[in-house]
Amino acid sequence: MAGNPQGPLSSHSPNPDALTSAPTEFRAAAEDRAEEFIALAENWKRDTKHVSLISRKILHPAYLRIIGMGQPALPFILRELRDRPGHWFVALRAIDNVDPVPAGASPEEARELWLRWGRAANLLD
Amino acid sequence: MPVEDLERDFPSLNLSNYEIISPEDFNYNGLAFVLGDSNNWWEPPGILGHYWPDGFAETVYVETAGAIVQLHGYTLDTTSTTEADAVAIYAISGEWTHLARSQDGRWVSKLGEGHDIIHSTPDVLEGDLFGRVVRVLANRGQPIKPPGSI
Repeated sequence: MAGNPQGPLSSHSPNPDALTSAPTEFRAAAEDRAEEFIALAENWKRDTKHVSLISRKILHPAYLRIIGMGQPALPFILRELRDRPGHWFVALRAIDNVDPVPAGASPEEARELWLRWGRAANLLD
Repeated sequence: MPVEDLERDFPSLNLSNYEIISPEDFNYNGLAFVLGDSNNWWEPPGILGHYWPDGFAETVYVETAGAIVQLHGYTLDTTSTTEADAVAIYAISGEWTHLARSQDGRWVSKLGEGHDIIHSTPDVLEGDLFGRVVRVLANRGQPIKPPGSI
C-alpha cells in the first residue's frame, strides 16, 4: 500500500517514505488504465466545470470511479493537476490517506503542495 | 473553454446576452467573486483548499450565504433585479448553487471554475445547473468590506 490506511491522516507534511516502496509498480498499473482515467476525467470536467460547490463536484460518478481506481490513479491525477488545475484534492486525500495541505490554503497553494508531494513520492516527473 | 460548452450548460445564454471577461480559474467560485475575492474558493468547511469565514454555519443553505452577503453591505431584500448594486442568490432545494452581482446595469458571474462573464439579467443563468434566483439583496450605499474582513 502506498499510504497509511491504518494511521491518522498526516495533515501538514507529505509522507513519501510510505510511497517509495513500489512507485514503479504503481506507474505500470496506472499506464494500463490510462484511457479509463482520461475518459473519466474528461467526463467529470465537462459535467462539473460550472458547479460552484466542490461538495457537489465530487459526487459525480466519474469522480467517484476515479477514487475507486485507487493508487494506480495517483500519477494520472497528479499529472492532470499539474497540466490542468482542478479540484482533485479530495480524490488524492481519499486514495492515499494523507493531506499535505494545511487548513486555510488556497486552491493554488493546495495544488503546489500536492505536486510537491507527488514529486517527493516519485509519482510525478 | 469552448463557448458551446458554456451555452450547453446554460441554454438561455446566447451571444447577444453575455460576454466572457476572464480566463477560467479554479481558485475562486461565485460566492467569492461577488464579494470581490479572486483568491479563495468560498465553501464550507474551510479545508481542502476551501475558505469559509469564521462564525458562520458550515452549511450551504441559502440563509447562510445570505448572512455572509448581508455582512458585506447587501442588507436590503428586494424583488428588483435592476438595482445598481445587488447580489442574486440561486438555489436548488434551499441550497445555494451560484451568486451573481449587478454592476452598471448588467450582471457579472463567476461560473464554477470556469470564466467570469457579464450577462444581461440574472435569469439567463437559471436552469438545471443553478436552479432559480431565490433571493436578491441590494446595497444602497454602504461601502463593501474587503474580502475576508468578516
